[in-house]
Amino acid sequence: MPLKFVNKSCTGCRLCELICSATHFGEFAPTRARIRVNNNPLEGKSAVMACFSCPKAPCIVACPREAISRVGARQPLTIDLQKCDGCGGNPACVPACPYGAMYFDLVTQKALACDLCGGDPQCVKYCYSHAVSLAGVEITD
Amino acid sequence: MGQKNCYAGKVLRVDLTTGTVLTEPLNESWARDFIGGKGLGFRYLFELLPPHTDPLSPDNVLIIFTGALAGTCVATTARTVVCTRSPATGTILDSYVGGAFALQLKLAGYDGIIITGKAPQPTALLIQDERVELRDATPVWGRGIWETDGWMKEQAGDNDLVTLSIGPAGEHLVPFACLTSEAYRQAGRGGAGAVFGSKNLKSVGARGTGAVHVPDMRSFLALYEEILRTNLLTEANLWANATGTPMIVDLSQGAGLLPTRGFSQGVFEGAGGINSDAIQARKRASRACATCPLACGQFTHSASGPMEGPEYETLGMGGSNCAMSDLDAVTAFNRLCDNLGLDTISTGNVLGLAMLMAEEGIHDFGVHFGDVEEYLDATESIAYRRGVGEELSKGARYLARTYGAEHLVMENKGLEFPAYDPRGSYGMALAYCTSDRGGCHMRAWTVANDAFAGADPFTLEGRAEMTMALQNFNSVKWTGIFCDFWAIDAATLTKLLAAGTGQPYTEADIYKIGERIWNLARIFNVREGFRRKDDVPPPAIFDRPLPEGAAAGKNFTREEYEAALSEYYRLRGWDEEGIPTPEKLAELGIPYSIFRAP
Ligand code: SF4
Ligand code: SF4
Ligand code: SF4
Repeated sequence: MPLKFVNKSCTGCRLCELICSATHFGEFAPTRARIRVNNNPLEGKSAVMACFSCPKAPCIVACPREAISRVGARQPLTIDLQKCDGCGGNPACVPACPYGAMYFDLVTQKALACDLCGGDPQCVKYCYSHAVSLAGVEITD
Repeated sequence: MGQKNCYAGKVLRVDLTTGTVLTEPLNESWARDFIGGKGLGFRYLFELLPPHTDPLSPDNVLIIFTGALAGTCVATTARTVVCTRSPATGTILDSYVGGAFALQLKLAGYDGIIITGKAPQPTALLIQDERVELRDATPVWGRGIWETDGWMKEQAGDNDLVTLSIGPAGEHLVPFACLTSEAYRQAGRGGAGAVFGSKNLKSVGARGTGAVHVPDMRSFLALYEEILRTNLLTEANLWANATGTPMIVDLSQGAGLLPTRGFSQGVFEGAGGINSDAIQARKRASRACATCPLACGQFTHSASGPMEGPEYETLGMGGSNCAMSDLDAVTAFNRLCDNLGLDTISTGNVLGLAMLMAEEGIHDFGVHFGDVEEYLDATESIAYRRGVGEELSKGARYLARTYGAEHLVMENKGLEFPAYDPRGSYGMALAYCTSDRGGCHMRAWTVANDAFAGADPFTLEGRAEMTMALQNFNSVKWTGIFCDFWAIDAATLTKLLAAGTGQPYTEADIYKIGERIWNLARIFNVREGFRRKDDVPPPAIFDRPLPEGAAAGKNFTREEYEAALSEYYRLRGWDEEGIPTPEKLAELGIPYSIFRAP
């Protein structure tokens, strides 16, 4: 089950970014998160996005090293870090994603996409306003 | 430092006169003794600011500090503190703003910024990781804060840049000019905006792409997850999520201490127009500071436009205190203040006083209770110090002394009282008047323990001790920098600070650090000449009981107050003039040598 986003519930707190980077890299580094928040405080709006394993997955096709795969439609991506060489700093997969959900880790120089935390998505657990949730899973408090 | 604990380990030093920018290591021994936020900000200020420095001179020092836990996932800790000598009071000043500035500054690699001197022309400080630049801000000098913030983001080429900016009020050195961040959040009280203005500093922007570390991420997250569930997302705090501060309007009204018509009344017949229900009817979204699940910001759309707020203090001081019963009017006032860079509390207090002076036939500044047009015009005039605004911009204490309204004014040390009338909760008199930055409710919000909790608010008994304990605890809480709206206990606070800094703090250490910070602030103020005579409420508290409501006819005598003040000094280990004794300072590890009494 992929992630689902409700922008109007997003408060702009960036906790998802902090938690995502902390659980994957052991440091609080929003620019290494696999989920990103776009804030507009003046208008009181936020938008949150991460890879939700979209039906067509153009990122997979775009990768010249065949580093990106998934076991089935709507299953989380796997990025093979042996194969991914970051396209020499100019990754093909990042602009290929129509949703702006593929990122580039400046530290490792490799692509970065949501892996659903191996099935226990931490951002979902920490997002108190349920702006990010698992599609098809009912929200209970 | 830097990799093993939550500190960035570096401090930026900016000399605006020469245009030089340097980085220096964070003083580790001070970090241990003062942790961060208020504590470290005050310690640096005390070291760098010579006594009797004119707050608006180039010699005043501006310290912008993060809390120790900024940049971690711990809720509410992305707050920023601005420390300086206040142009409103002449006291030490620590002014807080929520949002994400501290998160970005820490991710850029700095625990704080020390700013000295005066730039030769309008200037902006742009911090993007190790790239730190001073830019000519002439294009936005004279402009509102919202436009300035957009301009800064353009200059940085980065929409995630977060700024602290001043508007025309700061440029014109209004002593209650504030800093605004993320459009609707303010370092409101005490005039930090005027200090920016006096240095030709229009804006400071920060954006970081680095990382913040803790000694052991796995145990840190495990600890935090537990605390989040059992300590933060609980009934004690979730009111902030549901309604935010506007719900205090009805509480204050019920307790008869809602400042109304220039503090001449404690209940407002129009409260229904500006209370939580009125806010909820216009609410479109919940907004949060970085890391905070409470999301207390009530984003509203009213006839005057969209905004995050108004918050309780604005509803009280700009609403009932000016006899404004229409939320659209108060929202218009709030938007003006946020964009022009005025503290809504002081502005509302000053306007309410001016309106009362007109009603009492003392002086007519052309503002009258309930007249929306005059109220909004005057707010703008204050920011630009033009027309009637020139006099009003000098603050409530000046108006009272100059025009003969000392029997009406509500301030301490030149800082206008916020929206809790001490005649409805006596402890607040002690809280306001012993506050380190003048009439402020945040250091000891005793009203929450009596009038809002069903206990007797009409007594000073035990209030000296309560005030002292709250002041000490909040001082250390603001090293985090934790927000008031998280009713965190000492044990939890200790655990989180220890887990982040890697210092083996005990609860006893934490209490002591709070007391240390409070005493450091006091010797700063004593050095500037503040004494017992400055720690007393204005005459109206004693002489003019409220006419109606739950606090009708209630007041206490000067003798009763002086007795409570003596008790407070005694409990603190200060002498009868309110000067910390050498023994007390020694006990707290503050070297007596840094305290050169005038
Ligand atoms: S944690 Fe939730 S509310 Fe906060 S920024 Fe992320 S998606 Fe938005
Ligand atoms: S990264 Fe973008 S393109 Fe690739 S599967 Fe995820 S959403 Fe689709
Ligand atoms: S599910 Fe896990 S990997 Fe995906 S965005 Fe959320 S925290 Fe990051």
